[in-house]
Amino acid sequence: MKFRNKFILSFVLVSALGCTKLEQKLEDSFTSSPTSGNADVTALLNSTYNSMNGLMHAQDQLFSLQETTSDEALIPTRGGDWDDNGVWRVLHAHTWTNIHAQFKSVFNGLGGLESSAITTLAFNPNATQAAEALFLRTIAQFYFLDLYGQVPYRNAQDYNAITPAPVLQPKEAIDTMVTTLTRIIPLLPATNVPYRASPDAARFLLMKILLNKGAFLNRQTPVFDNADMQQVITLGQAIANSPAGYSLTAKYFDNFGPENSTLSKERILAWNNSGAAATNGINSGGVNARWMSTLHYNSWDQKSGSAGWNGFTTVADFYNTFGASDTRVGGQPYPGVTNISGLKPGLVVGLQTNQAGVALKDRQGNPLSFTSDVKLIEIDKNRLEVAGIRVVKYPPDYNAYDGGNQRNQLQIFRFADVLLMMAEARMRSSTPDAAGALLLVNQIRLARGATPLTAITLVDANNVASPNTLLAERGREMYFESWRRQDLIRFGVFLKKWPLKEADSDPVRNLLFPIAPDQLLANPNLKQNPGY
Amino acid sequence: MNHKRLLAQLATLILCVLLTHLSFAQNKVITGKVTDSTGSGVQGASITVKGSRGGVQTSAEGTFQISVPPGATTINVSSVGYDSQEISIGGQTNISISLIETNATMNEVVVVGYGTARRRDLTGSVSSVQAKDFNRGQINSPQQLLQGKVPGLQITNSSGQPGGITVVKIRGNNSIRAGNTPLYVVDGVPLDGRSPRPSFSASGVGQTPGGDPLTFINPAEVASIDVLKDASASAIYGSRGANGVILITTRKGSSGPAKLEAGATVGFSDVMRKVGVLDAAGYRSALKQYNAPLSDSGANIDPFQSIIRSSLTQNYSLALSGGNSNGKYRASFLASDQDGIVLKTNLKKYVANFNGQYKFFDQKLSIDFSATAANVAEQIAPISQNAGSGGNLVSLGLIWNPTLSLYNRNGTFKQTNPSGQVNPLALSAAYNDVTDITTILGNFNAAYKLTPWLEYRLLYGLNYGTAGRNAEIQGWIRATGGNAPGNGIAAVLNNKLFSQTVTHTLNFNKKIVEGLTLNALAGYEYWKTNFSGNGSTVFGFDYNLDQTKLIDIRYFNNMQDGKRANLNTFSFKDPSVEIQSYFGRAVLNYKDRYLFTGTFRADGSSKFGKNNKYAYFPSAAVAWNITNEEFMKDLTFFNSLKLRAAYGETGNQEFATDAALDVYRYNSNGNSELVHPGNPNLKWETVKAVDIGLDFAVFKGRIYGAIDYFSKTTNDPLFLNPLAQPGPPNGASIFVNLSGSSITNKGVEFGVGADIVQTAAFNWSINANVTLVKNKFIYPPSGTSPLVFTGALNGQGTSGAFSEAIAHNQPIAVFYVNRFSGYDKDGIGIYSATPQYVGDPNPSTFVGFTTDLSYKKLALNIGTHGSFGNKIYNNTAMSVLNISNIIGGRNIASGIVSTPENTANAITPSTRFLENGNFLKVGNVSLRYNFGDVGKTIKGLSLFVSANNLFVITDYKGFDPEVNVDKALNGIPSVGIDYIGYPTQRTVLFGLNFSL
Repeated sequence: MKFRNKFILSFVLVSALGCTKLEQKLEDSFTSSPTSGNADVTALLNSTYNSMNGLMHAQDQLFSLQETTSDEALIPTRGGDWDDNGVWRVLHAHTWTNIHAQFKSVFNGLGGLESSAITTLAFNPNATQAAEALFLRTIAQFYFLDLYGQVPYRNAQDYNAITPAPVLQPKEAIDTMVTTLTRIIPLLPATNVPYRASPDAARFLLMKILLNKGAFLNRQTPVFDNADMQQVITLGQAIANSPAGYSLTAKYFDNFGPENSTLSKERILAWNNSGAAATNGINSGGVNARWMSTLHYNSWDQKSGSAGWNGFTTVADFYNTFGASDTRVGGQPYPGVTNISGLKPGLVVGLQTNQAGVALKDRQGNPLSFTSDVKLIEIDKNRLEVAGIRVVKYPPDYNAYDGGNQRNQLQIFRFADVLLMMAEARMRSSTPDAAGALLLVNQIRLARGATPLTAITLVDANNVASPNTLLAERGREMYFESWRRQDLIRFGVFLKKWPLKEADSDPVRNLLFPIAPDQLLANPNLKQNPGY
Repeated sequence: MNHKRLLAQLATLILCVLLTHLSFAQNKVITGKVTDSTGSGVQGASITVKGSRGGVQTSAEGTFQISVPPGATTINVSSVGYDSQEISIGGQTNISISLIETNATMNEVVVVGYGTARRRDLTGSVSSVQAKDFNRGQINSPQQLLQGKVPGLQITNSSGQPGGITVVKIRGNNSIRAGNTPLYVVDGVPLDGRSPRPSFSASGVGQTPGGDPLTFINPAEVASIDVLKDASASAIYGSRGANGVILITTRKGSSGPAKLEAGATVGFSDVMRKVGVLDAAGYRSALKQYNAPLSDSGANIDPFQSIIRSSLTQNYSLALSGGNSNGKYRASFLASDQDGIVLKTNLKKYVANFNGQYKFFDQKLSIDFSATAANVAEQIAPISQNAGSGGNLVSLGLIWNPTLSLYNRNGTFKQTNPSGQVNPLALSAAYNDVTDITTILGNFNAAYKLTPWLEYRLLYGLNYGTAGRNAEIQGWIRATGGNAPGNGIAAVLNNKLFSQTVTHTLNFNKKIVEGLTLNALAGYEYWKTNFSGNGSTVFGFDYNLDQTKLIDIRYFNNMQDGKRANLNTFSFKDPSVEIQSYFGRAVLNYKDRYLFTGTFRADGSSKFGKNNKYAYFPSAAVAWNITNEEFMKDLTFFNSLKLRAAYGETGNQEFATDAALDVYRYNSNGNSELVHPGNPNLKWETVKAVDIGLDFAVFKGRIYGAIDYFSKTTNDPLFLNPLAQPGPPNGASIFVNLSGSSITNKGVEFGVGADIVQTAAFNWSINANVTLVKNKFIYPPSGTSPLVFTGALNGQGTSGAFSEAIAHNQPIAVFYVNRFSGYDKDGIGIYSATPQYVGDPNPSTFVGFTTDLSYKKLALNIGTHGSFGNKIYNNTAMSVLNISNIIGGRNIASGIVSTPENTANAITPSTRFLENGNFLKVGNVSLRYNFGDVGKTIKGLSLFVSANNLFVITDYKGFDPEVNVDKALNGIPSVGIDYIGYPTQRTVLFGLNFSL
């Protein structure tokens, strides 16, 4: 072969081999589009429900933002424990800055929920599936508005966009949510189980939006529109008369205990945790954070050393708003709990014993006795582990105490709240109906074993813990259920002084959480909230 | 050939001119030949007559003819790269002159991308280290051979674990992403860079660190390592060259009769340095001081000492080689067994290599092949990088109450510590974790010389790695948290990594016109890699739940006994990554004075977004061999002086393989989700680099070195950017090329070697290098706020805490914590109100220093390395050894009892735990006695003793300032954080080598 031929041959060889297309093929996942038809919209909807997982139950997500920033919860720094770089302390003291992991992760969590809902909408759902997805999208938008005052959103066709998302301002967001919910109420199956969207859940969410509308539009001085209040009452009545047959559960803690999926009559939206296989793929996981986060390391001697995380507490001022006979304060034996560990659910204070009545000990060998007073930073080494009243709203499921599937369903929308919202709407009507409100409040108090009130006001602006107010009643009924911050803002007292917090110096700043700097960079349509 | 004729004519012309001018003086004509040490003729050597002007140059064969005037007594012979010689003429008319290379490094052949080059022809910054200069002693991965040897190369052993990851960075941090690792190319085969070793993370115990991906290479079989540092050298590797390229060349056979080489080493390891904690007596007095008498349990023990040991290391190697001018072969074997200093840790290696080089058709066709098969097995201790202080064996050893016995009276492990810690010995006993990695690296290489100046070459290479990992925590353990206590957990995990390369190259090497040679390369390469794996975990076993009734059956060998409801299985397969490349290089050499190199590469990658399928990487460099200039002829002080300047662009494509696509996935129980949206614009990040360097050799080549200034800018850096919400729940971040952002690394590196004493009996040489580098991240839109955080901190009371940030105008991973300014009257820490940028985790200076002394048959090598100007975050001190431990019945660091700190002082990430990272480590000492040949059969016998990690000089209080625990947060790597890692081992080896 002539050299020239060799030369040409080798180049031909080299070029001929160089023709790979470089198309990428996924092996354990797939790529899809609404038109390709290979994604299953039912499965996408299930995932949308599950994207509330964590966001709703974890102790450092939505729950923390709504509760630990309020007058009824705090996590003291206990020497070496629970400082966590100060994240908890600043929440109760209202001294947070724009960098806070929880603000960021809740924002992203809500975005994830909304995005999953939008993706479901993009993949040609049927009318019911679309209504469920729209309900879930509205939940995300509601909390975006509540916590951050701005609602990033995408149209269904932009479900996979990576560009900055448009942002709804409060007025537009409220209009969108009200229109959406009104439209889907008739489309949602009334037969849906409480862990799926139902007409009543949509009505409940609409009540929350209308009731808070005045605050969402003007957080400093909320102004309530009479028509909204009347609609809240109408919606509440529709729920009360629903074929689902809600009623106040006879024993308060049955709403939260391991058997609450059968014993509670108040579950409008309740998050299931019995294992995804048993519930068509929808499962919340991890309700145990509710008790682990507050109980002491030695609260159950069978798990001594790791029976709790010894964190969350409440303050004596809150404890003292309960009347003597009010069962909601707890301290009474609960079957399946007290006989196993000695724990009495509710607000837990004083000497702790095991199921046999023998005093439990803290890690230094002293009797385990929770004090009613607490400081933001505990420095007395004899109090470090025991300071503060503990809040065990969910009687533990000892079969899955620190892992696995606790049977307790997480209450998200609860019937008692419907009554309280109706009472509030009556009091906020242009012609306030305090008597009608009192009737509803006393209906609850009666069911909870508390003495009826003779008169009620909305709030005492000079004393947040004043007991004979609707705000205090909401606290007693709804404590540690992720509503408190929103209530305090609506009642106009979120910036007031309360135990272990001075009055906020900035008249605006803390009414909204800051948006994380990385989100501001990623989406120029978002504007940092005032004061940050 | 033209040039020869031309040269001959030129020589004749010069001769004629000379003859014309000098003919009247009855000149004498002298002929001769100039050769090098191998006997080959030296072309272009200049011959001058002392005391007269003019001269001649030798021909291509090294011959010359010169006319000398009658009075002349001496001629001078000089050539670049050789010592000049003065030859007394006497009565001779024919003189043979053998020149001695002044400085071997100038003529040495350096491996560059897809070929080799003589060092003198290089225009880029390439460091080459030969086997004789490697670090000695216990070497587990080839990077360790280079530690402290190469300017610009920062090599950090991230932990003391045998087989632990050795982190290599060339000239700073180019990337925010994990991809700061150079590309490794072994005998022409580019490696994937990942290890198939599965990671294991047990709840409560955390994730143990990864293993080094190069442990499968037998360090004794490495002949040389070449480090391509600047873009002129590495741009030919295109989208994988941005972090520099490390070319490993293995040893080959040589011509001659068959030769058997054998070596054996045996040695011992202990802990190089301990962390100061209180002993029992000190603890007891501290308990008094802090009024916590309940924690005195009466015993006197040293818990840390109980989990470490003096451990045995053995290495045996054998190599058989031989060949003739048409064929060479080499086969080698290594068996290595290294116990770690922590209980139940071990690294076992078996490596076999066979290679051959054969020539056919008048040596026109050459066939080379190489096959390496290696099995590397590890036994791993529960020393995780992210556990709370509960689950890490080393932390447990440090914090266990020294007055509390580890055993019950009946000899069982005490598992009822009132303060809740896991018994370290119990954890060690209950935890079994073994990996087994089998790697095959093979290549087949065929080259055919189409003409004397054109060669075609085909390379096929494959790298297959399969790894298994089996782990269990027996159910009798208590208090670890997670599912292990009372249940027992087990995991069986497998991964597979398979990559293949096909390369075609054409190499052109020809003199174009007189004095101008062109060396050109054109090539095509296809590279493909696949990564997949599967595994199962389960908890709830029926046996080994009581430490008094143990049966010797591992859960992981009996997975079916695990409770079915607790069984979790998974599998994954990443999409294939395919890279298709076209590349070329042209090197022009004009009279050995002026050199130009240009390279170009086009890389297409299946990972890139559909809008950016091909990337283009050019480079250009010039060099000027100043000593070859006429005007330097008389400046004999300089034996070599070369000025280099280079510019080039390289890329990095280290991002998730499916990042450019919308990815959906089916999960369990009827769930499906959009995992992340795709970024169709996703592409490589580009490093634009400038290098200006000066190579020199003076004092007859006895002092030589190079100084380089470099400036690199990473454009379009790859970044896991937060997605504008709403975005998919698990895809809160997506890969983007962060526009408007850049990363710069600027610095100077200087390396110098000196052969200080060179006598027959005594030789002393030193090598020193220093690198100064400054790193900065630029992203004006983020202002003074950090863009993202990294440097996760762990431990009780520090959930969610972090210590580092990526921030505009700050070095990568700058420390971002509160400033600590002492204690208030209650002994509570005082901190700044907000976190601040408080220190750089990246060393500003790193140095290496080697000295080689030999006296007759005795040789001593000492290698030291160090780094300066960086801070280390001592997360160990913060979380494991803080004062509040004393209340919790745990041990504390010995220094804090004298501070006014209150036992209730919260654990706050702050500058209090930021320590100076400056250190100088004597990493390598070796003393060798060469007996030479013993009798007729044993050749080259030598006995030696070596020590690794002999000692370190530092103020740092942790185990070792040379540390890099992986504390990445959201995929952003951390730098310079120490968290209860595997302590550094000091190893002393005794060994012998000989051949037959």
